[in-house]
Amino acid sequence: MSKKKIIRIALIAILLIIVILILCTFRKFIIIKRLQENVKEYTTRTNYHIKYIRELNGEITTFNYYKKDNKMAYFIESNGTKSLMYNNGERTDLFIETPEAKTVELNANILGIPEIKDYFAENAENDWETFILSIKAKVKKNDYNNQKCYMVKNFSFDFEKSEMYVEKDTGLMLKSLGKNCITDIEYEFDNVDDSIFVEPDISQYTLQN
Amino acid sequence: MKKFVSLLCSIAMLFTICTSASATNVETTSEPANVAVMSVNDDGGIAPQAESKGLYYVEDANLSASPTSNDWYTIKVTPDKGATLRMWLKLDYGTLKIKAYSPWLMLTYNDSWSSSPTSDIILATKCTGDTYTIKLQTFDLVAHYSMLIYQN
Repeated sequence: MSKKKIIRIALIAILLIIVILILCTFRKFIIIKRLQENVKEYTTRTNYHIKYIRELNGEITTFNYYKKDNKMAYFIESNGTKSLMYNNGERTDLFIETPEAKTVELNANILGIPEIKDYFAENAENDWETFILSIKAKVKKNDYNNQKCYMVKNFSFDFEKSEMYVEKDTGLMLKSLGKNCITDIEYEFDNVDDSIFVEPDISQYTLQN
Repeated sequence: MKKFVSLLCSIAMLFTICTSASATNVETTSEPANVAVMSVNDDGGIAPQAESKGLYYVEDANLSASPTSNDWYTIKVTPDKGATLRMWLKLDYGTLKIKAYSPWLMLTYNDSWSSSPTSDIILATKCTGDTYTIKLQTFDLVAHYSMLIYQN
């Protein structure tokens, strides 16, 4: 076989690989964009409850996040300790209960509230970044709890092998699998009433500032 | 043969054009410096210094536990070209996992901090002048901290 012919075959093979890579990436990119489009309807909702059950290194933690208009309540419970956060629309109060003490911080600066969000947009600001991250990502159909889902893995460049099960029709994440960390997620809409936003009796807590 | 080579060159050129166009379109969402000129002393205190510039500051913040390994609190800052991006951290209680990414989404810093006195951390060196992403996460109920992200 002549040298010219070998080079030609090699070039065709490289070209084919590039085309297949681009096509596969486009497929993943389109699925992710569709999921992002679907979740938009839910990120603007003003009455919902999210329940997370997280298992981290064998320890179970329960998270309950309630939102109604401009009010929110967020409860985290694990192994006899509780963190209760209330926002009445004006300020956020943080109550912490451990077996040893009960403390309250009024007008606390709380970050990391887990509202319904677009997890893909958190990693990629624009379509180009989404496309680049899609190269390495693994996206495949995978049902979870009888719901049609996509399993998305490695949608970031930091090599943490996290998997997300995202519902096809809603774009909501139903399950997350990270390093030693598994979380199941449930959603309820238009079912939150004002009673959940009543704060505990502050006199039972030690004030911290 | 020439056709194949020219086709490959075209694809390469197309990638180059897309890459540079996208790089200039990255949105900058960072807050302007609210701490004008700050630096960190050897004893961990903050003191004014002409060559340092604050990019983000938060005092007595509570980062709530991440319900999933995909939940991170994100901060975006834009250090000057050639600058070193640093973080002064006072972690009162809890643990904090910190990651920093370059504009090309590559990891430049990755570490965990437990309740510690003050720390001065280098997040990235020789910054490009573009926006850097810093991510925070805790698996404790709450991590309580004060933080200054600055450049020098």
